[in-house]
Amino acid sequence: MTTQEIAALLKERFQDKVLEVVETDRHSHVRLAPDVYVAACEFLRDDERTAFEQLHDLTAVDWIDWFDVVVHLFSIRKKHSLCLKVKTPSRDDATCPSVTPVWPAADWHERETWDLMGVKFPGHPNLRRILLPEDWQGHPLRKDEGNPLEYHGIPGIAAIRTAEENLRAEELVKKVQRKGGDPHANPLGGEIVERVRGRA
Amino acid sequence: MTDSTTQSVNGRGKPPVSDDWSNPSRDVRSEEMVVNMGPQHPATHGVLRVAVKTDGETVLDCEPMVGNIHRCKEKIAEGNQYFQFMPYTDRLDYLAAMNNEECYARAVEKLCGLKLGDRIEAIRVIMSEVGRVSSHLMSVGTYGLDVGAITPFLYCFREREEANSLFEAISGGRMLYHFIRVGGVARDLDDVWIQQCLEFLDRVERKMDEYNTLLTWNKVFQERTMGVGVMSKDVALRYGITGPALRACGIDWDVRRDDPYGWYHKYKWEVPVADGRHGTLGDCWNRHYIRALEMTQSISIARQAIDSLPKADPAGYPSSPHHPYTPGMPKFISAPKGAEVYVRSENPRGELAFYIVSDGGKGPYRMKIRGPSFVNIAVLPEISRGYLIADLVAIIGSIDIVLGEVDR
Repeated sequence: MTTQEIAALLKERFQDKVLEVVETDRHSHVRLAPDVYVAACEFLRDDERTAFEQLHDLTAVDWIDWFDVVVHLFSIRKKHSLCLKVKTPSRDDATCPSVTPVWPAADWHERETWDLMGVKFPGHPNLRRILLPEDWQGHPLRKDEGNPLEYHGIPGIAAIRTAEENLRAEELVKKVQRKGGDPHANPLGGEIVERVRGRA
Repeated sequence: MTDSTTQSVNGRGKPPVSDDWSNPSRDVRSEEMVVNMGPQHPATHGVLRVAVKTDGETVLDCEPMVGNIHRCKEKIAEGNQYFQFMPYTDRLDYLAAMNNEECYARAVEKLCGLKLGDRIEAIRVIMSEVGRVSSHLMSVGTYGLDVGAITPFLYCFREREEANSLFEAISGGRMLYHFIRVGGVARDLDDVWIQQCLEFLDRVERKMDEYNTLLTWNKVFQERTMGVGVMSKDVALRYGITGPALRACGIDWDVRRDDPYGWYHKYKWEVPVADGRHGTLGDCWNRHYIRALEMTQSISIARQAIDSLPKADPAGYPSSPHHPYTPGMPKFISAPKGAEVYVRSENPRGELAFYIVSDGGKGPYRMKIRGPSFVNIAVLPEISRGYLIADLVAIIGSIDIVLGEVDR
């Protein structure tokens, strides 16, 4: 079945809760309202015409104002696929119902999405961090998340860069001094030192 | 006493959990305890930690703790251009780097709407299948090691070294190749390499019987793995298991055949599926056996691809180590704004998939990597409850995970 045909089945059942059907040659998806998302997943799994017994992937995309939870389903019996998208209410309220009761495969995918993207899944039995340590601050795949400076005494990449650049600036100063010059008196050398330091 | 202990260790299936003292399995039960297996345990294939709740020798429950080598590749991808991310894909499933590269290249090509020449498609099939043989040699060999058979491991490594040398001859790397590029490959195949490749395939095919005699049909190995870690069809589907572990449950599904990509539709081969004639459907032995059978099929596909390899493009595209063989590839690639793709391929460990969202730039706006090992290892608690701790090692080995891909 194509995405359009599956969307027709969903529309028959959930009427106007099917918000959008997009079909292109690259990728097709059906956008659902969050309140019918779990019910629609159960329907897609149990209905003989769709028979999506496999949740292949679940992830989220950060669109600054909101998050899209993207689910890829595959059916081995029917050999067709479907992509579902659900929008979270807002960036601050990044929640989406959990489909772990429908497919246990969603368990780890939802934990990963919470861990890296910070989308909460109410109804998930065990929503803890999975890839990052328990005491990690923030969710690295969010667009506004920078590189951490430090974690338990381990310098982050930003701190390493700063240290490297300071070292380079000091070496430059020493090089100029070895040649008998004053690095700050030399307009060009001083500029270089200031520029390197300024970046740090 | 000795008699009952032997019986309980060799007894198949889940030991009863009752307090029946006439039950022989009481000898291996004591009080509950939580034991950490790993992350430096040699049988966990990398830095996997499994927290095991035990009762004597019996596993009551376990939880895989992953993330020890998490590198946040998805964030790295967002800061790079499409072609720059290619070497990072090698480091996902580092035992099957060619297959990862192939999948990622295909995802980017679909996103940017690039078409490939026939020769490149055939070269990619050869590379993927030789990569699969190399990867399965590793998993078959180390699986023997996990359950106590050291010799097949050394034999498999002997052959895998040849595969590494083969890849080194064409790409310069023994493990991480960066050979497949967006729009083509790093260099064209020459006749010498093709001859070496054919010799390698012949040799592995001859040796396959030896491995099967040593390991697959070995009575001790069978006693150790048959009926252990039984995964039912239902569990496999609900947990999204893919690859050899899925086919070992008797589910006839292979992306290369059922959702064909690349040039796989041009070749004739069979998808090995467990039929339950030996052992129990979905047990450790069947997962191992499917891999052994798949190697034979991969050799067959690679041979067919070499036999029907199309001639090099008549335009005389420069083919040397210094010129990537990417005919027809534009100098700069970018994807349309808002375009997205979900591309999957049959990797040695299951279905690898890339979900890429573009915002019209030179690199991805968001990339999700669906690693098969990450999904497959999640089923471990479900299939290991009630078995012995020694069986847990056999089960982890039979799922065949690579931690580079679990943690990404």
